[in-house]
Order: sequence, then structure tokens, then C-alpha cells
Amino acid sequence: MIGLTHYLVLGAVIFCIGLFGLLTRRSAVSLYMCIELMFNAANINLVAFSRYIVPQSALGQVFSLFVIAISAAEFGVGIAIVILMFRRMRKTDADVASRMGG
Amino acid sequence: MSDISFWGIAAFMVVSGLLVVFSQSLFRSAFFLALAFTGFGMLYFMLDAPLVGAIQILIYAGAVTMLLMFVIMLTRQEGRAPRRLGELLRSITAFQLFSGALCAALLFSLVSQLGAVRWRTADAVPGFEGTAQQAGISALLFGQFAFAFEVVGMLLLAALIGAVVLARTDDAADGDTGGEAR
Repeated sequence: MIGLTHYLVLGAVIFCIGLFGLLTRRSAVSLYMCIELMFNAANINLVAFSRYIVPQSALGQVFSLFVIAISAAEFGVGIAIVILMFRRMRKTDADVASRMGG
Repeated sequence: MSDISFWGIAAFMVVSGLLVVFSQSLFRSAFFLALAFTGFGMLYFMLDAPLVGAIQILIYAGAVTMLLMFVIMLTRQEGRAPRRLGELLRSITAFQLFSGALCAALLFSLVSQLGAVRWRTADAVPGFEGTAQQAGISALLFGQFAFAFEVVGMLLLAALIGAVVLARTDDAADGDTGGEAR
């Protein structure tokens, strides 16, 4: 029987995959992909808690909607920064961005 | 039946997640990310949250993936991608091994902690599904969390303006326009 723990463990697995990608990938675009993966892994926990701990209310689902909206905002700004970085330096590697500080 | 579909979706998501991280081509990464997002959506449907599942598929598998494809095409770096595989295989650095070990340790501690907890779970309430559940979501979203809802709206507006300001070109002579950013 599938229970709450299964969903939480799945979320943890996906979160760790995203974290590994975040640490090892070089391109800024793939860093954003990994961050989105981690956001979604956290979202699973919210929806699973909502279903298994308080099934009489939709509290966790509302929280997950907020997480989706905020990650969309973050993604939009991040992608704009990547485009700007590419236009200035012709590269989207994240270590190139350390030159931006001057 | 529910068990089989959970394991199927879980395996699908873990494999797509791993392929997102380990694909050499950014296009392939984005494609597998879209598959993983679809898996998340199916999982929400299994968790009796069809609204969140639909929004997940619409926003992530639709909009975010499309934006990613645009950006990957806009920032294509010629002559770089084919070189990267051998380059990467030759140089599996100590840092990569270290971060792999770090993530494995984190995963191990998380899973062992999660396995030890006894959650006080409850069964699904029979009447609370479909339209009743959506009415509950709207009551929360526009009642208790109305202020947070407005703040998120402001945040999205600010992000929209910020993205346009960041990505626009100053001189019209520059070839690519920044309008596609958002």
C-alpha cells in the first residue's frame, strides 16, 4: 500500500538529483532546469501532506500553487539574465558570471 | 492498481530526472525535464489534486519548457556541444565525485529520517473531491490567503517588468531582440 512516506521519499530522491545537477552542471540554463526540478520535488511534499495529513482541507494544494507562481517568476527573471549574459559575453557558463562583479 | 501506477510514475520520474542531469545536450535535458514535469502532474492526479496536476502540466510542461527551448535556441554556442562529451568524460573531477557523495549522504539521511517518522495520516474524506475540493481551494486562495495572492500577483508583475528591462536591447542595430524573454 502506497502511503505518505513513499511520496516523501520520491520527493527526496528527485531533490537530491536536482541538487547534484546544480552542483556539477556548468551551463546556466541547466542550472535553472535543476532548480525547477528541486522546486517540484518540494511541491510533491506539500501536496502529499495535504492529501494524507489534512484531507479535509486543500491547504497544501494552495501552498503548492504559490510555489509554482513564485518559481515561474524566478524562472522568467533568470532566463532574462541568461540572455543578457549571452549577449554580453557570448557564453552561458555559470563561471563566466563571476566576471560580472568586476 | 494504484501501487503499480505509483511505482511506474516514480521510476519514470527518477529516470527522467537523472537524464536531465546527465544529458550532454541542453535540448535533450529540456526534453527530459518536460517528461519529468508530466510525471509530476500525473503524481498530483494520483494524490487527488487534479487542479494542481492540470496547472503543473499547463505551466511547467507547457510554458516553462517552451521558454527553455527558446532560450536554448537563442543562446546556442556553436562548436561547443560535440567537444563536451569527451571533455567531460576525461575530467570527472574530484569535485563531481565529492558532490555526488554529498548528495548521496543527504539522500541517505533524509530517507532514514523519513522512514523513522510515524505520521498520523488520515483517509481521504469521501465528499471532498471534484468541485467541492476546487471550491475549498478557491475559498482558501481568495479568503484566508487573499493578501498573499495579491502579493504574488505583484511579484509576477515585477518579474515581468524586470525580465523585459534586463533582456531588452539598447540599440536597434543589435540583431536579436530581447522581446522573447517573457
